[in-house]
Amino acid sequence: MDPAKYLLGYALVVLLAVSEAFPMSLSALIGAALLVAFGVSDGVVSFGEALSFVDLELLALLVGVMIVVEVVDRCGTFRYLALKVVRKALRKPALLLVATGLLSALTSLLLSDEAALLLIVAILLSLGKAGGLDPIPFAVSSAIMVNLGGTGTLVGSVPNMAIGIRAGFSFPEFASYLLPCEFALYGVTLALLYAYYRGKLRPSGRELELEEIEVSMAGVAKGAFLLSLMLSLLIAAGIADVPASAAALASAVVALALSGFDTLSVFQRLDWDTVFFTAAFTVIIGVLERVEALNGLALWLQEAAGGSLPLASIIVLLVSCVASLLLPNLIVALSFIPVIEDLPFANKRPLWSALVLGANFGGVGLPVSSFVIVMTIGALRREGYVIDPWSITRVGIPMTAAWIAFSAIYLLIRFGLV
Amino acid sequence: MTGATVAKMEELIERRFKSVETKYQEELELVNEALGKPCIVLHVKLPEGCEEYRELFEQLQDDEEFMAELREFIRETLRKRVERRAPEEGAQS
Repeated sequence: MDPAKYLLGYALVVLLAVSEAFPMSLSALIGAALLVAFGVSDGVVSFGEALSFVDLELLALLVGVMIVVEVVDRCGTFRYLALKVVRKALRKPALLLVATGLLSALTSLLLSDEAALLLIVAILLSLGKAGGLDPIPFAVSSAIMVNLGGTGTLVGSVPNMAIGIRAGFSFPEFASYLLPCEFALYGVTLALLYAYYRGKLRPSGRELELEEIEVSMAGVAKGAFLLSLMLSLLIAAGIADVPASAAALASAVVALALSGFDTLSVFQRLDWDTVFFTAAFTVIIGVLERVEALNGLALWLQEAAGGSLPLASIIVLLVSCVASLLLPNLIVALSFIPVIEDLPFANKRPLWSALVLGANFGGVGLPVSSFVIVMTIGALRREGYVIDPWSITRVGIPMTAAWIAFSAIYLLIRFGLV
Repeated sequence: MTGATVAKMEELIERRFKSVETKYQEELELVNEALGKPCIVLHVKLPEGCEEYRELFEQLQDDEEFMAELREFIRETLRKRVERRAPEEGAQS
């Protein structure tokens, strides 16, 4: 049995996903069908075994969190908080940069990156239309902070969920390894963004006032309650050694029951493309593991690190970051998981943490490497602003380098590798 | 970078943004609705004789149809007040 054809099938999926010839889910489903067919014909895997490669715990966590996030988003809780904060900071551009940056990162820590960015960019562009400010520096900064936000929690991004579950990290454990790094990076990133955009942070000559904010306070409170409930259940599940997916599903059921929203319309808004992609891609990775097609990468990494855990962690951080500059970060995370599992280190926590950081950080280096950057450019253009996509690279590449340098030092200190 | 590469990237940005454009427009509308509009807070007591409809009354604050009717009522009231004020101001001058 030749693993080359399996690797070719994998490469085809990656190519289809990156070229966006089909939706990501369909690309992965085509690849999964192909690899399972190879596996069955070579007698290395049965169809039933291939189905068992679907990571149900990951899917349960993903769908549970998606439901809660959709309900909380509809409740308007984050919209209300964001508008309140922006209203306070409106007259001081530097403060507004910090406030919108922190809002973006903290919102994406709990909501999806897409929902967080759409909210912040919509607010900034509304203010821009009203003549209050030039939204470009604020919007680009928000996109960068959204990409950073969500790195530190198990539910902050889909790659985090995939890595966290396979690493066996509970919600509190995951946060204890990665949240301090994320919070420290907020300071580093905001300082760099301020230094870069300082000359462009000018209020317009026109006075801008935000009057009362019209939202349903009952909805705001309901959203805050549901989010607190999910976080509490995730923490409690971690302490009681119950899977995080159970906490997420329980929160989703409560959210649907209490919200009063039409359940089917909530389901319709979920990101099913990501759900099906994740399911199909875990099958692809399962088949590749079965035919030991990824062993080469693990061996290379092992040799490059020379048996040194600190060096292996730094290599994982760098390679996964560079890969996520070019590929969707979920592909990077899912592909690296079996590689990390194959490495012969007893303590894999630094390696898992390095993978989380690397896979999350590649998102702002190139204009097309991140959905949030593309969304920001698209929204700015819709409102008539002229923005060169490469102007984001001029900020994104040095920022990514700064994140990697900081994270490398953090990993060495946090896990006592020096 | 060649013109063709730039064009391809622009096409990619446009295509990807289109996939979230509806959501973006919805968010923009919600933000615009919440932003920059003056707002008054009224405390309306349950009218006498309606005691048995307490639950329905309490639900009105979240009732979109009721809010739309209320906004229409306010629009009409403002229009009538402006019309009434115009002759009074004319007589005074």
